[in-house]
Amino acid sequence: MLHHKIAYIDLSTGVVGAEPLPREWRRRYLGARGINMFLLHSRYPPVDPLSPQNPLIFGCGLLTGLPGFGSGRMNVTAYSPASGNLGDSNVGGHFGPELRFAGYDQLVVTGRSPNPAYLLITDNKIEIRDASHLWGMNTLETQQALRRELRHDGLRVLTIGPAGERGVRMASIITGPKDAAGRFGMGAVMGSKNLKAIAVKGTQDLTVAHPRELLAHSREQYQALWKRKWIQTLGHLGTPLLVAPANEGGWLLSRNDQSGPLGERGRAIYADSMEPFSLGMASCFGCTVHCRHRHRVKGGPHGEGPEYSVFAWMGANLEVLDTEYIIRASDLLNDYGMDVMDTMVVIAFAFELYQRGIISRSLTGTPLEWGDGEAVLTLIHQMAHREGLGDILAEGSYCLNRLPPEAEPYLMRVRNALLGPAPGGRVVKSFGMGHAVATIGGHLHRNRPGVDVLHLPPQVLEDLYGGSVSNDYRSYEGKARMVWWHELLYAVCDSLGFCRFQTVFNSPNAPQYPEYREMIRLALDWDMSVEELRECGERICTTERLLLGRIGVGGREHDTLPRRWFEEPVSEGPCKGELIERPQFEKFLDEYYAIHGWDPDGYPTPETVARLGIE
Amino acid sequence: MGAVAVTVRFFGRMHQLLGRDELEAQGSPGTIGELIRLLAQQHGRVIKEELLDEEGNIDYSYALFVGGERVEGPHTPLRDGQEVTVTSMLAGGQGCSTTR
Ligand code: SF4
Repeated sequence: MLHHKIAYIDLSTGVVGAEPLPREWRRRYLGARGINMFLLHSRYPPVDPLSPQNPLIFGCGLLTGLPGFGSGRMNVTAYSPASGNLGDSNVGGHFGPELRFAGYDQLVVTGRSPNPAYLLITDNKIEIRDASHLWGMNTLETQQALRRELRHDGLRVLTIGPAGERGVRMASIITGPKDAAGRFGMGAVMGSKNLKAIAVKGTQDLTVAHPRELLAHSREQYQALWKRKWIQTLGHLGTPLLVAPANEGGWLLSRNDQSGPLGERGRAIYADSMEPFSLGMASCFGCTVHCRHRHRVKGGPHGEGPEYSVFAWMGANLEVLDTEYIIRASDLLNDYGMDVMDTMVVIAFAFELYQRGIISRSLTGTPLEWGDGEAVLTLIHQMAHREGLGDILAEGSYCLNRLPPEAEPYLMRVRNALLGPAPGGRVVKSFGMGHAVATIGGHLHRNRPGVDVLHLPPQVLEDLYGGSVSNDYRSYEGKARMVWWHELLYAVCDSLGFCRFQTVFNSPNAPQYPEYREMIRLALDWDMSVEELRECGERICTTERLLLGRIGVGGREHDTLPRRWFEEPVSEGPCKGELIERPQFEKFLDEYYAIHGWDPDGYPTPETVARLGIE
Repeated sequence: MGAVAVTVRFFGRMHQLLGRDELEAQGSPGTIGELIRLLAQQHGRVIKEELLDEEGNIDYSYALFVGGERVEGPHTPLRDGQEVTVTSMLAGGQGCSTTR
């Protein structure tokens, strides 16, 4: 019988302990992101993110590893060295399920190992081992070395690359060729603990309440999903498919968000451009969609991806309209263990500083001209090795400390977290304003209502959201409700261990609460109502908001956007003139706080905290 | 008015299904709906089956643009010489009628 356990690993003392994961926590916070946040809030007060005291929490979802809606996912959470605030990153692949097969749902790693170390986790057993021989290796080399050394091809590994070892603030944690706990510097936290990798091999079965029915139900769901055109499209083209509508629609901007869409030039980086490089599609554990390309570029090894984010943040925003460069950069970032979004945002910032003459060749060493793919690759190398300008940019938001004061307005950030500017936050109002209130700083996956750009019939929106919401993506009407609704759903989706792409992220008829409820019943024999599940989402979001308050960035004054989004309208294209209007933005905040049960300053009220039973 | 050609550029799923990224519709379609029906007659039924849903509206799995503007529906007017762009979206299926 498999017990759900939480393990506490202190790398300073070498003490490892484990205890059963209380049922009460799971019922109230589900798992993954939810329980990670509960732990951070109830047990670990804010600390310097790069200090040994910062807990690095790895959490599997309540249903991770079961046949579900992309159930290979988990969350990695800590105080973030990238923003100085809350850090949380969702990662797919196969590691999460394997960790559960080994008997662990949650790992809390504290302290700092005196020497480079890795964790080896097998059935109900955790060992701290020497990793001196792995230090310096890139992420794929580390995984291969551990598989060879431990003579196990099926070993699943989470690892940092050289960037995490060197404290690059946007360092990621990687598993497989490209699955990344990418954002908010979780790899830098891991590096600060001298923890190179976690390797896991589990052989135990997950116990479920109604195994036959669960399998039959999952098969039915898979078959139904695969018949849907949007799933087939995602499974054939991958996330880069979104580049075309974003560019044609006029909300995929360029040059650090200064310029309009790319028009016909942008067609060079549509999903179709992957065709000469793609070897087929691959997937995370238990997923029928297979949304990522396996690729090969001339003279390079096989890799996976790249995703929409690299096309948007490098292709469009830096105007590198060459898919081969986009693939090379994506592979390089995965090998070094660096987040795509943060890296590209800070590079776009450097390009704009160069364009404006705020920095010169004496600092950059080479011209930084928009569209120069080689310059981008060079900066990635420099950042990973902390050389030259790269050493400054590797500080992420904190690079401002080492640059002239006039640089500040051009760094796109919210709550000191770097903000991916390309996906049109000034145009699609729900996207833009959602960035301002995302509990981990400007991150689209916290609440992005992808359906906003579909121009759905108003009745469909009203039925979905339980209130009036405009079907015009440039309108502000009802968008607070929309953002709130998605925020709760995504908190639940993450905490169950499911994939965002298989819920109401982009399609209004994707699986959501009713389907989740049935999966929980079949797996655990818990009768959770849709309302109870939604309340879990509320509890998780409000807990995160309380954490922000404790860190000192939980008030209304921190819920804002880059000045450029308020003051510089989109300069050309179909969305020319669009920006976020301040009075409308303030109204959005009022409505958003009210629906959440937070006060007008953005703090959860005592009544809301009591209603949700948050400690 | 004599027959004119309307150029349609396909990206994403339709590009894959057709094996071509550009088609010309011979005729003078006055609306997007007419254009799609004309293309289906001249180049294969799959075009209509993919781009229109059961009610004859634009399927939500696609976003169409004319002259840089998003097509609202099959009645969106077309002018001679305009280029139409067809892109894939992540949405749709079963008429988007799900209500919960
Ligand atoms: S849809 Fe893509 S990201 Fe999601 S689980 Fe499947 S393969 Fe992974």
